[in-house]
Amino acid sequence: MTEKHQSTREFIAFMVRGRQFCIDITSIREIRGWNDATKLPHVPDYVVGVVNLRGTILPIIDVSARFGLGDCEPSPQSVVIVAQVGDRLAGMLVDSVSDILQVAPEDIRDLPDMDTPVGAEFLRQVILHDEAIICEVMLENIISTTLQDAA
Amino acid sequence: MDLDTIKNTFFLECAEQLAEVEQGFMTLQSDPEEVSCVHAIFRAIHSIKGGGGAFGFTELVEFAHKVENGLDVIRNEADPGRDPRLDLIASACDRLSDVIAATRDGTDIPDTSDFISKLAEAFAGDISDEPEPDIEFDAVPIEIGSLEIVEEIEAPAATVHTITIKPTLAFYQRGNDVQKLARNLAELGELAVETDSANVPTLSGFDSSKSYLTFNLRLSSNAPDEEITDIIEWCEGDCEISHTTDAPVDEAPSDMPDLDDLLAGFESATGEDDESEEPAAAAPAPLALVAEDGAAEEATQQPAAAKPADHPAKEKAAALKASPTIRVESERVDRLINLMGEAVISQAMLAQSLSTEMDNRDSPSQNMLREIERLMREIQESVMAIRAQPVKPVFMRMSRIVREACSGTGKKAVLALEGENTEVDTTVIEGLSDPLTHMIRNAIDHGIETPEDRLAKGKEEQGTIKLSACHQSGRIVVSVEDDGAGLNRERLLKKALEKGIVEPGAELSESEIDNLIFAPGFSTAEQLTDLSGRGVGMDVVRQSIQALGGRVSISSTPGHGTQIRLSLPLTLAILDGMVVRAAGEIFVVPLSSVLETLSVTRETVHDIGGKPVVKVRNTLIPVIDISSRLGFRSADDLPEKATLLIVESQSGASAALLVDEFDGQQQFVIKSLETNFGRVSDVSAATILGTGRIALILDIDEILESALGLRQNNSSLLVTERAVA
Repeated sequence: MTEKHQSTREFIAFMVRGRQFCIDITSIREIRGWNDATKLPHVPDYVVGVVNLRGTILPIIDVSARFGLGDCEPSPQSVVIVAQVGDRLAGMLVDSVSDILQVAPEDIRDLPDMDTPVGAEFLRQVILHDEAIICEVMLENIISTTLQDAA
Repeated sequence: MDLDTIKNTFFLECAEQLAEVEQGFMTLQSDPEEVSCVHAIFRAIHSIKGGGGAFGFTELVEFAHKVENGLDVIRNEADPGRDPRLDLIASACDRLSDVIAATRDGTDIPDTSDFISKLAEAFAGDISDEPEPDIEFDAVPIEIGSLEIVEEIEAPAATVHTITIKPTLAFYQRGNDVQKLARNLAELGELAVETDSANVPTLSGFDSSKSYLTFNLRLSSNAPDEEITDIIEWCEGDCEISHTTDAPVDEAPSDMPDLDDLLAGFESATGEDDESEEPAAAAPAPLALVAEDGAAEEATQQPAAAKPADHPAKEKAAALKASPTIRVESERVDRLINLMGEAVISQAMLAQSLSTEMDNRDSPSQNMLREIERLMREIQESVMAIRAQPVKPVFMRMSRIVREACSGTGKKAVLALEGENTEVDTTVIEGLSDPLTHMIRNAIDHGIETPEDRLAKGKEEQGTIKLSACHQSGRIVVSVEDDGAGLNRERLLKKALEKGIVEPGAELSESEIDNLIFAPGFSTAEQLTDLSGRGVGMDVVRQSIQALGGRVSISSTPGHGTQIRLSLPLTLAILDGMVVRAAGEIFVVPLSSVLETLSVTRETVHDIGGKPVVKVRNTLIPVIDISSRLGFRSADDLPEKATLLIVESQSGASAALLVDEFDGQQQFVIKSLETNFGRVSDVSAATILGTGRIALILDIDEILESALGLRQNNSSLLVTERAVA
């Protein structure tokens, strides 16, 4: 492994409504298929419910609904990315996982000032990968805002 | 083991010793005759001092020493349990526990000078101000005389006490010293000490963590037996002690058999019970052996008759000693409980798949499964029992709060405990301490009247705060009851109006007014003393109890006092529940709140003012359709046939939950929703079913209270809402 490799970061890219986003691989615990979730009463629409992750109650967030892109219709092809922020685990329901990105520091850019359909509070920075431009999502906001809303 | 670990252990032990001190004071409060408590307190303080000395906690040791000195004076009084100075000692012990806490946390040591001067004043003349003699082991020569020498110097009428002390390691660990004991005994008469080093192994076999020496003490003294017993009793439990008395030499029958033989016989006869606290028993023994006439019989029977009277005291002393315990990190137990939960779930899954595969309930595998089920339940109970602790330690701590609150307000109150041995999960116990502290401070500050007022009202000068715990239908109910003035409803209402918590002109029932004290931001601040003005309101108490899955209710009788009841789950981990289906989802209803189940058709559900009710044996019960309540189905969509679960909330209100189907009952492992998500209304927690699917556990209290518009426990909330509207 060369010096260059040590400073590269890895991201997992995923698809939501035809758009590609990514998360730092270090916050991802595992990637699972979709299983029916148990609905929760009195919670925002983007909280799909809870599933059993080997004895842990895992809330599932519909990322599409969270981004305001409309509810996702979970299918057997849907994917749940189990991510950890602090002590909390949450599952993000996405359409599919598309890639693992090796990103050099110079390919990470700040978010340009612009009005995106996905609220700026959910996006951290952009990653230039080959010819594509992929937004890194702000995991803690996707998860923790939910917690506040629900509390 | 590094020094920090050892220090930690010391502080843990301090906590235990302090608990013992509290226990001692509590017992003395109700029974001043219980002199052994004074000794127990003394021992505890002494141990703290000894341990503190080892770590060089000078302030702690000095203060503990002063307290110990005071206690030493008291315990030598004729009636130590009634010594008025015990109150001062109790307060000093409270301060001592502050000093210990500060030492542990490395914060500023609280000032003890006021207590030191008070103690000096109270015990002036009784204690010399000499510093504690150095208790380190140094070679002060003690005369190790032979028995002949003792006999030579024996005064004619003196009694000879033969005391054998075989200290255990614990004896030394507590900072005790045979030398000191010997010095105390020497003050009573002539003492000869012989060290029996026969058990000391060779250097190669020497284990420094073992205790090898035995000390034979022979004391000839005119002092009463009790005085000697008092001194020796001190290290009882940490030593093997035998104490025998020889009758005054000149009175002994000339044909008395060889003392040593007798002693040997006596010792083997008493077996394990080598405390031999009945010195008289030794003396008549030879008589019984020699003469067989009636007089001798009588003589032997006397000590025997005296023994039963002695026994209760001994038993109580034994009860003061805690049963052997293991100190385990709670994390390890938590892990075990989690594993247990997993196992219970897997077993339920196995049961489910087996039952779908084969119908024969008597097949060997089904039988085996039932056996596993039984074992699992048993293991589960034992695992849970590890975490179950009596509420006693928390309750004991409250006596300190009462003392402090009384000295802060100039009121007089005692704490009465009831059901303090009730066991409950440790997590619940931990969460109880703060709310209880606050409620007790409140009770004294606002509830209990001044001594003059009480006398004027024809009450006893001293108020009583009753703290009780009991098990009630799968929950623990803790109540704090005072016999004070009761809540001043007029003032509460006035206050609530001022604060805009209640709308002007609102009609509130008595219990609604009482419940105002739980309203957020509500406090009768104008007359707050430094006691309750600590920024904690009763709303915080309610919140912290709710965080434990508990409920708070209050009742008050003007002039006669106030009672606050906390109802808490026994454990935060396991629950007996009923499985119900509604709107395609599966829910669990805690069994403790279910009264009965009924199957009804749509026609039996009537409508009163747009709300469904059902008639059950001449009683009309409101119906709550769970599916629509949770927003899973629209309200008009009642199924043709439904099942009703008559449930009761903690406040005693009942309602019928309408569900689609009822699936039997089983045990569930409670999984918190808060860990990864947050609180969800109407749901208390989640659990994992045999299928691996998650089911929500319904919060019956919350559902009933909000669905029925109950004011009992929730009035403040409703009142607030009313004010906003």
